[in-house]
Amino acid sequence: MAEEVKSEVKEEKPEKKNFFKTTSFKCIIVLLAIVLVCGILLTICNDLFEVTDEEKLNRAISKIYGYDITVEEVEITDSDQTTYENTYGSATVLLAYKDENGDYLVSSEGTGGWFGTVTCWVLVAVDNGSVTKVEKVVVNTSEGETLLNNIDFLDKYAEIEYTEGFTYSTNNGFVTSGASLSSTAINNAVNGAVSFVNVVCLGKEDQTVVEETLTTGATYSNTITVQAAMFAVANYDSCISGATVSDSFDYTTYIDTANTTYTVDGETVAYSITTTGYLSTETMGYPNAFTLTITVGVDKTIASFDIVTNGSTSGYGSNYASKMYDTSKFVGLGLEDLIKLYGTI
Amino acid sequence: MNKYSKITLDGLLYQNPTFMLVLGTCPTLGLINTASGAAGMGLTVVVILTLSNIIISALRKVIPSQVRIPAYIVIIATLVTLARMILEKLMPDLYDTLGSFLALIVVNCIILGRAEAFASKHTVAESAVDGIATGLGFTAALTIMGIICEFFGKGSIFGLQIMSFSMGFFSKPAGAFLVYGLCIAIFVYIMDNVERAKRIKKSKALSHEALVEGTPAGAEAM
Repeated sequence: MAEEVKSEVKEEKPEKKNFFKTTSFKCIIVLLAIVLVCGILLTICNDLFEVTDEEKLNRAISKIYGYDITVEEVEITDSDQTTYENTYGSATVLLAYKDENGDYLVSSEGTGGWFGTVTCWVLVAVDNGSVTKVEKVVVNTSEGETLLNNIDFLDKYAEIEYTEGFTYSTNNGFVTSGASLSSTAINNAVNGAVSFVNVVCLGKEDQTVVEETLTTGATYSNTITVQAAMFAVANYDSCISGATVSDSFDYTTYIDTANTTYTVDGETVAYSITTTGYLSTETMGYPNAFTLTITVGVDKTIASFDIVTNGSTSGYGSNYASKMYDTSKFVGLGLEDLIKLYGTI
Repeated sequence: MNKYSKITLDGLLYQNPTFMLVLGTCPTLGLINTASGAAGMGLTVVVILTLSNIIISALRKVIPSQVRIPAYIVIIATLVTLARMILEKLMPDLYDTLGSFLALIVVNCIILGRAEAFASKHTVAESAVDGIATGLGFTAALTIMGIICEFFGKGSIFGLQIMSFSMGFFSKPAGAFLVYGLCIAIFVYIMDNVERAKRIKKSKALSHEALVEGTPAGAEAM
């Protein structure tokens, strides 16, 4: 019995010795050796060829300018960061540099995009202590804006000399049709950068002018509702004299005259207007009928404007009715003002 | 013809990886919209292919055949990572142009294919020549197609505007595919004709020898 155990032990020992001579062991050792050598080589080279954050930033800046240039960082405090707000969004300045020419390169994040923010590098030219123009705008990142490749107005910024109080917006040509929200975010970023340079860097007062405009990103809803307002104001006299609403009234393009009524209370006309859809058939992307209550006073201006049924396309509806546009902006507008407003759509 | 000449001609022409073997299609189609991008990718592949061939050939008697593929991939991946580091530091423009295709060189069939088919079975010197020749064959193919696509797609060559007329189709993947297919067809046609001419020349030479020696060529075979 003891001899059998001894022979078993003797048989195990030669197997263990043979394992170190097997192909499996050789495979493991060779692979480990290759991995070890490669790992050491990569570790050494990682230190040798490391690109620092400063180098990356300098390269990004050189790319924006198109040549190498020295810049000096401008310190930004928390209170400096948000210096621009308007109806449709705001801008936050993330980084700012002053270059050797006295111009400012600002990284500005504008809100108001379809999915959120768009961050841009904005090169603001300064001469004699005043902003002269926006030399260059380069879109850096966004929160998933899908139409940024369509943006085609970035070169336009450099074509216009900046004047005090000027605001870059979709109303004065800084817009790409079909990407109006992304355009808004970019404009907010640019305005934010200019405002930062004016206020923080040059010590001027905030020159931001908030423009009264219609909702961005709801072009066809704007068309229908402004037409409804024009209808209400233009036909005030006919309604006061008791005429029946018909297609012979003015501005009936998008008005369902069969379902539109009015009441006269003294010298005030209160309309219940049903519009048509933008297209004759329901189509995705185009608004359906709105129901609006509009009152017009004796001075033939809008006294109140309320949306009862919002016909905007799903997604755009919230933009139009509450998030983006305050319908009280119609209040006080006469026919001429509405025609001017219609021209901005 | 000595063996190095044969290896060189095989890599450049007779076994051109792009036109004859149709390997490395992913970077080919991704980078031939500009001539400079195509040339940049080609030259990067030349360096990596040559070094991987040299190293694998040097270790061919050490690496067991059971683990040769993982070993080759580790070596190739290390070389590609080194290339990325060097390009990012010293040639950032080329690094940006190559983008994600630089990392994809690790799984480029040309490199792994030549490692397995040639470097693991030949000497270091032969493998180095094969790496250079095959890499240059790949580079030449990509550059030619890049020039064609950039010229027709943007009206420029290596960024120099030649003409104002351009067809955007050639800047898109579909256009790249079309150019690739046409180039393969033209290249194979030319090589077929060259091979045929060589065969005819050889058979004429044999017939002439036979006549000079006084025996018909057919009688010799019998």
